[in-house]
Amino acid sequence: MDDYRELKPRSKLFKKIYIAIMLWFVGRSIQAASRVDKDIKKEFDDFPEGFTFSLGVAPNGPYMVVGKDKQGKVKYLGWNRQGKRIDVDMKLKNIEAAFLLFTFQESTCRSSARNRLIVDGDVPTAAAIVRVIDMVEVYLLPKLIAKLAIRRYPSWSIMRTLIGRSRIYFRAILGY
Amino acid sequence: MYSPGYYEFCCRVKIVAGHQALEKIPGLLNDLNANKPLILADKGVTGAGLVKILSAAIENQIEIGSIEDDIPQDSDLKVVNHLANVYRDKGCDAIIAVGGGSVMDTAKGVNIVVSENADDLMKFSGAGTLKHQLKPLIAIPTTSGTGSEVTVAAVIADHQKNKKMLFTSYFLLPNAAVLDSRMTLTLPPFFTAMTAMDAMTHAIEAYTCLAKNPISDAHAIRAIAMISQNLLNVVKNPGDKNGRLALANAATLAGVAFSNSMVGMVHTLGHSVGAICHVPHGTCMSIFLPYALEYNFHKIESFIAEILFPLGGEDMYRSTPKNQRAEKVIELARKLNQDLFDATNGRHSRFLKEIKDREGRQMVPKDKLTEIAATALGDGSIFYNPEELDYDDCLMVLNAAWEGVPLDRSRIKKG
Amino acid sequence: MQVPEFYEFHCPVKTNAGINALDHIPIELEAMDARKPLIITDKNTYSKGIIKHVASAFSESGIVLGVFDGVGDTADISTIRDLYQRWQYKGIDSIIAVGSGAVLDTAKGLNIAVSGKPEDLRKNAESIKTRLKPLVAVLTGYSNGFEISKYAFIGELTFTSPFLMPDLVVVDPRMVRSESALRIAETAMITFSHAAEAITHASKNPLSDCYAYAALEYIRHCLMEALKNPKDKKSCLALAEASSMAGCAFSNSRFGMVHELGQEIAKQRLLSSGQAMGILLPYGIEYQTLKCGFQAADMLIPLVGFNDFVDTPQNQRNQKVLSLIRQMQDNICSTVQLPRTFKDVQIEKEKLKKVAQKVAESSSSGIREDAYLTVLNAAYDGKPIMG
Repeated sequence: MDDYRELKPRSKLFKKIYIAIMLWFVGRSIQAASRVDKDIKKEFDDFPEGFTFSLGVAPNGPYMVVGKDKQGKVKYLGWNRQGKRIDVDMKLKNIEAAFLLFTFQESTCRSSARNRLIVDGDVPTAAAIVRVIDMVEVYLLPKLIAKLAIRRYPSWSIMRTLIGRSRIYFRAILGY
Repeated sequence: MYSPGYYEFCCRVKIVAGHQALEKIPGLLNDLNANKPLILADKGVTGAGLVKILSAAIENQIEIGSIEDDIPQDSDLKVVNHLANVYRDKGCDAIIAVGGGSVMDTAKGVNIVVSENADDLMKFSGAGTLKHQLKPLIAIPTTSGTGSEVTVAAVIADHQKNKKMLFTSYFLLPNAAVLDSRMTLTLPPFFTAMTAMDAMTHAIEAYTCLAKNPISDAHAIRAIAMISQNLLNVVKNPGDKNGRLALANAATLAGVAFSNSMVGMVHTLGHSVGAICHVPHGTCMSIFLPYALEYNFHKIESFIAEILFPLGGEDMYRSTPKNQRAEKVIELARKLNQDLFDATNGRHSRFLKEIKDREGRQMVPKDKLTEIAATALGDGSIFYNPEELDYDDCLMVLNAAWEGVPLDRSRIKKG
Repeated sequence: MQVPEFYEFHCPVKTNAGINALDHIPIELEAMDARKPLIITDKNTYSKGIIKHVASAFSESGIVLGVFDGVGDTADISTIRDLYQRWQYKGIDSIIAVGSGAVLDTAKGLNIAVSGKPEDLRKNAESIKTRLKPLVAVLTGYSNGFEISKYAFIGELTFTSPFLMPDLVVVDPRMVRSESALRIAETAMITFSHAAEAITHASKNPLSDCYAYAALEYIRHCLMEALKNPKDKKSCLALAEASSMAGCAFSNSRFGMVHELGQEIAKQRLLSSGQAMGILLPYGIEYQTLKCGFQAADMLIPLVGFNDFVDTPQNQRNQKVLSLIRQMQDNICSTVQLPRTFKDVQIEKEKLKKVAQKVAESSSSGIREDAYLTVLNAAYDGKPIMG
């Protein structure tokens, strides 16, 4: 019957690579920021040792995993979720939703208001993680772009932003 | 016209409403291929004679499997498992839940256990773990407030592990919600005020928070109008059947609105006061409502102004100059609390420091506010609030709401 | 606003509308335990090349999507039978219907067959009382909302059940562009008629009101913009959203005269149902307001907003709505080539009489033939019933 045909959807490789790089960088920046910024450190202090959380894209990734080791240090644990127990799991519902978020067309709040974000796990902890990500974004992004990504730009001193930003970039790139 | 860019809307529950709606239940069950329901309720519901009314309305046409009315206010996993066993032992094939939020949540939990044949309810916690239709569930709300007859979520505590589990799935929705004026007719004025203000807050937050959308907006507007037109009347004349039915409808409309567009800081703070000081939910809602409008004012003034139409009525809307409408809404929200305070001989609290328990003790001591503020930061509703809220912001609002003074708006940090 | 003594409302539809709505389909199907959908559409829709947007949402699923584009002008049993067999041996578990009424009717028919026994399709089954297989409807520029309603027309048979409504209606800006302003006007008139008759109907309920209210508000804000600029994405999206809302409202209210007459005129191939309803609207609403207890005033708020509503004295609100509808008709007819009266399209009064007779015979509303004829004649002359 020529009324029937089959379509193989094309993969969205470019978008996936872009998001993977962003996730990699955000993951390493969270690790760096936890050592640079006392507010971010404080949020993590309340998490138990061995705690892990993941941010990524349903159904097949990319993902990033961040956890707290036995010494209480926050560590970027890579992109692979296999074999890891994830305590708080945050997923964008699809690659396009993730693309909107990581190109700052939708803020975290907007994305969640538009029902594009799934959060599984303890809600207070997830709330703390979102606050951490918001703060990291303030460090990483120029004010103009950060304002698109968060609800309210914090009134930090210029010193905190600038010095923190260079230290976090430095550490994130070198990975310590 | 407000367009949110992208939204999702769903109200899958069949709604049957009227003065004689209970009589439709056998037909509803029949459509769902069920004929032996387990009736779940709490002592308050049976005490008010509501289960008797229900039984009388349906028992001619259908066999009732069992009536279980020992669901406590803080229901938990043990209760759920026990009731699931009753369901199986008596060979039931459907559940009828009669009551407020706690009964509804328990019924949803029982439904998971008996439908999935689960020995561990925990496996189904979180979002999206349920994949199949559950057993038929009919919800009969008795409070005109929570709207949980149309919400997708259920919270079930595990007291042994000291944990609360959240379940969300469209499959948790009841098949039908039956709103019957007889079910709320005997609700005392104070409870009526409290639960209706809960619904009012659902509607107003749905209309003003980040996930608002055109269909939920229409539900919210309708709910606000019905509550403001009927609440004081019903509190003063509890036997007003039409007023009762209107409030029951409004609570469901508000439930549909907020379960699709979520709620903001009234719930953020209200949940936390409830969790720490065990204050009834509706009381917290009515106290924080004017404060949330003040706090978010700079972001949503136009939406607040629109609320004057359903809340104040058309005459007031007409006579209030455009640039003062939003302020008028805040004024009205405060006035409504005052009117309800007067109509209930002071039982409806206007501020946090006024809330007293049965023995007359103050329920929210001022030194608890810091703990409440810290808890609030962990409430999921915080993300749907138009303006950012940090610890200091929460504390500022809590202090004002405790004293009963308007917010000092110069101190609000505007994003 | 009065609350009815008794009502029932049932709308199993979930709506996902706006930017990237299509991309949410896989996760929605997953939530209903479905992974391998069949796309059903028609040649016209397929040739526009928009099916690729639907397919692209599945880029992560690793599946090969089956697309059937052989739906004709109406749904028929033999097509459904073919699809039924394909369903059986391809391991399909859900349906995505993209396109107009016949596509949705075919999808609903297939769903009846695969969810129960194929024989169910042979009778006017009143007995569809449980959920069927997951059905997703993707709206296009042709959608007027009737297609997502609880009705399915297959061959000579009509099926009615809320469970025939799609589980999910998807409105995505990439899908809803219309080919011409005329087409937009026609579909919008159907949407408008359904919403208007639902919200003014004597036996309406507060929940269906909400859907109708939102639909009318969207049409008021976006229709003229879309007619002037048919390529405008935002207005086309809003009109498509309105159509789905109207479909939900319509499924929960009784038929009104505009709908009944419009459908019959289309059935007798005198005029498209959109054009017929566009002509009939002012007269149908006027008649029903005068004689059938309809509350025209109930649609004033969505048509003018709060400000103008409160400025209109209560006893003038019905009149105001009627004049607004006439004005809207004027505006549309002077922007696109839509007929204003039956006289304009030379449908003789004799034929209208036959329409009235047919509708009166089949309608359950209890309205008599001469009433239908009054409305048709007024629409022929283009003169209000009260003069």
